[in-house]
Amino acid sequence: MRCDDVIRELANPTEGRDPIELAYHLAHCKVCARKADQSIRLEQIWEATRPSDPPAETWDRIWDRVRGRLEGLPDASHSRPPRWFRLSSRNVARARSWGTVAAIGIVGVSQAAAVMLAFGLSWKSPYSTPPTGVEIRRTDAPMVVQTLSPTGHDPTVEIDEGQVVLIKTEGSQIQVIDLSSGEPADNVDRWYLAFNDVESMANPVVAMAE
Amino acid sequence: MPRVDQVELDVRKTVVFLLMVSGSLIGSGHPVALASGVKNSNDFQKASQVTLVAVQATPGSQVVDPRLGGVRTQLKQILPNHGFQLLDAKSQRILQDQSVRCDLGEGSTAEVLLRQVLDDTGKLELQLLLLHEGQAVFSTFVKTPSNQLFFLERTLMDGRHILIGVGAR
Repeated sequence: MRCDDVIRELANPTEGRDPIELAYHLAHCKVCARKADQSIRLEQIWEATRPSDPPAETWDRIWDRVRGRLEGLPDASHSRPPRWFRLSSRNVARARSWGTVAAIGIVGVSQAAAVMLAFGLSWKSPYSTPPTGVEIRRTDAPMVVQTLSPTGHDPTVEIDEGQVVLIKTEGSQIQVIDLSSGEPADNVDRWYLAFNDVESMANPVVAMAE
Repeated sequence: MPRVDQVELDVRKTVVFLLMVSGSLIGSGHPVALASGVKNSNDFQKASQVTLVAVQATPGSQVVDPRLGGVRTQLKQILPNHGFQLLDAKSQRILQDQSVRCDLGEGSTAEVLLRQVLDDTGKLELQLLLLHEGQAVFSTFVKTPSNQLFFLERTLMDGRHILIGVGAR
């Protein structure tokens, strides 16, 4: 999955979502992991500071007050919406723009809520760590792991999890070299980031500002 | 007969509704699926995003194409003391038996065919082909875990040294 896919998937999960792949990406992509962390912290702050919902009596009082004001209006305007609800022609354009802003806000808030929910779920998911049990063979120096000679049919190269393989062809021989070199000190898989870079290179995203 | 103010309110409600619907569609990734020819969610699960990058390596050079800046360290690790020039890069979400191609110039092409999305061991099976004037000059099958790049190094018939990176997920 690309970073864009991960963020989109977290913002708006699809039915075909693969939690293992998602967790794998978050475990290897520092940028997305940081975003996930920030979202979780934001969610925690929101949970800790959000105002409590007003009690039912408060709502009743508000509606009573609104009803009282509506009933107190003159007959001529009784069938019309209250003054604060009406739009003068002068304010129609402004109201439209505010309506658009409000709509964008609603969409943004709903998307943000979905992102926070998705991050929260993935954080607590049993798939939060990449699947284990696969032996990852790494060496300090590049190592030839297979030498294949074509025998009439195309050879098959097997790559294990964690290997970075270079298939080197010289004449009729194929050498398979493992370039991976141990766990990185900062726990960031540079080859995985390189994969993201190559993918972005192939499908560049153009950012536009108004 | 509806009043003008009520019409305006109806328009506002409609705009809000349309924006919410469009936001949801954008968020659900429909553009990606539609753009790649993957027609429905079932296809989406059977598909794989296959990425292919072709680079010309020049021994003894220190010049690296600025577009390759993000992977410079990795390229230097694969082929030390080489310069690198990006030839082509493609990344597409494709279904089984579909392929992604990169133009290497001078009549040569690199192609990756998605043979199997996931086999019994959870690996993808790809076929990597090098073609010259439409004729295959090299072919190999590769079984690889997803999310991993692998590379092919080869000297083409015209003498150019080529490095091809492939990954799928």
